[in-house]
Order: sequence, then structure tokens, then C-alpha cells
Amino acid sequence: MEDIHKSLDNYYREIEKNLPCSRREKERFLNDLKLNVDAYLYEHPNSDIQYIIQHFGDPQVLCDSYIESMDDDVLEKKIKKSNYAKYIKRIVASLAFVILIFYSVMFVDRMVNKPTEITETMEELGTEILETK
Amino acid sequence: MVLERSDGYINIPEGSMYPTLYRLEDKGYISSYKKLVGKRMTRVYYHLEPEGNEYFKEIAKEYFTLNKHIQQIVKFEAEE
Repeated sequence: MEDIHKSLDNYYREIEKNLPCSRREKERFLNDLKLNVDAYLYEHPNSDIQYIIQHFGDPQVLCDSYIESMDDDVLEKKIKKSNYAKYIKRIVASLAFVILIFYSVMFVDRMVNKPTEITETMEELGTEILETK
Repeated sequence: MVLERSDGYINIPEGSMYPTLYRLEDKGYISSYKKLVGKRMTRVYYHLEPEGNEYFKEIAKEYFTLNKHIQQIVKFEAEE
């Protein structure tokens, strides 16, 4: 019995991970599913997890059916939202790349110019010494 | 019931019905209530509302019309 509860926890977790909906809808779905699985186990006490999955559907099937049941306008909104998120991610990645390049150039420039500055300072020092002599 | 009526051809897992039931409930086509059966078993009962019945008639009509035309196309293709 403990085994089936462990398997059921994994089953619910997998469904929760896969469902493409809000947290509120996930809760609604999982509450109903748990209620019906409990009722099923009460009527079929010898069932194992395979029977449960066969009767209620495997997590991927449930996820697919959720998408299939969506109204066209809701689906369209979700796709637009997803595309917008991708667009924002691309902009952020591009900005990060530009900043990285900028700092790399700055770093290289500093490394290249540093010895020249020292040389100039040495030359200036040399001139000063000669002048004092 | 679906499996029985389709001679074992169509099997719809119970869990995959929930999203459709939610949509129908949100639109007011069906209503539901929970009832404690026995000592610790809760059952969910669904009721078809008059608006749902109208909607069902409408989409069933749409389905039969579409099916009729698809059959005409397939028949025409098969005859050729």
C-alpha cells in the first residue's frame, strides 16, 4: 500500500510538471484527479499504479488533452505570450553579449596600453634626470 | 461508457476529460457537485444544463453535416 502511495506521488508530480496551465488550474485538476483516484482505489482496492495510469491517463496524454481542449483564442494568446518571452530573452542575450564584448575590449585595451604608459613615464623620468644634471 | 458504446474502439482516459469538463462548466453548459458516498469516498456528479443541451444539439448537427460531406468526398474519390 505504501508503494502505491509513493508511485501516486510521482504520478501527480509528473502531471503537475507537464500541465501547461496556471497554478490555480493545476490545483483544480490535481484535486479532482486525487479525489477520483481515491474513489477508484476504494472500489478497486487491488489496483496497482499501472491500472491507475491506464484508467486516468499517463501524464503526457493528460498534458496533450489539456492543450487540445483549449479554446483557439486562449491557445493563440499562449503562443503570443511564449513568442514575446522568446523575443525578450533574445534581446537580453544580445545586450549581455554586447556588454561582454565592450568589457573585453576595455580589458584588452588596458592591458595593451599599460606598458606604453610606463615607458612614457620612464622617458619622462629620464628627461627630468638629464635636465637636473 | 465510451469504450462500451464504441465496441472497445475508442478509449478516453478519465483524466483527459477534466479539461473539457472545466471548459464546459466555465461556460455554464454543465454544473457539478461533490457528494460523499460511503464513509470516505467522494464522487463528482455532472449535470447537463439547458444551455449545454442546446450547445450539444448545435455541435452534433455541425458534426453530422461535416461528416456527410466528408463521406461524399471520400466516396467520390473511391469511385474514381
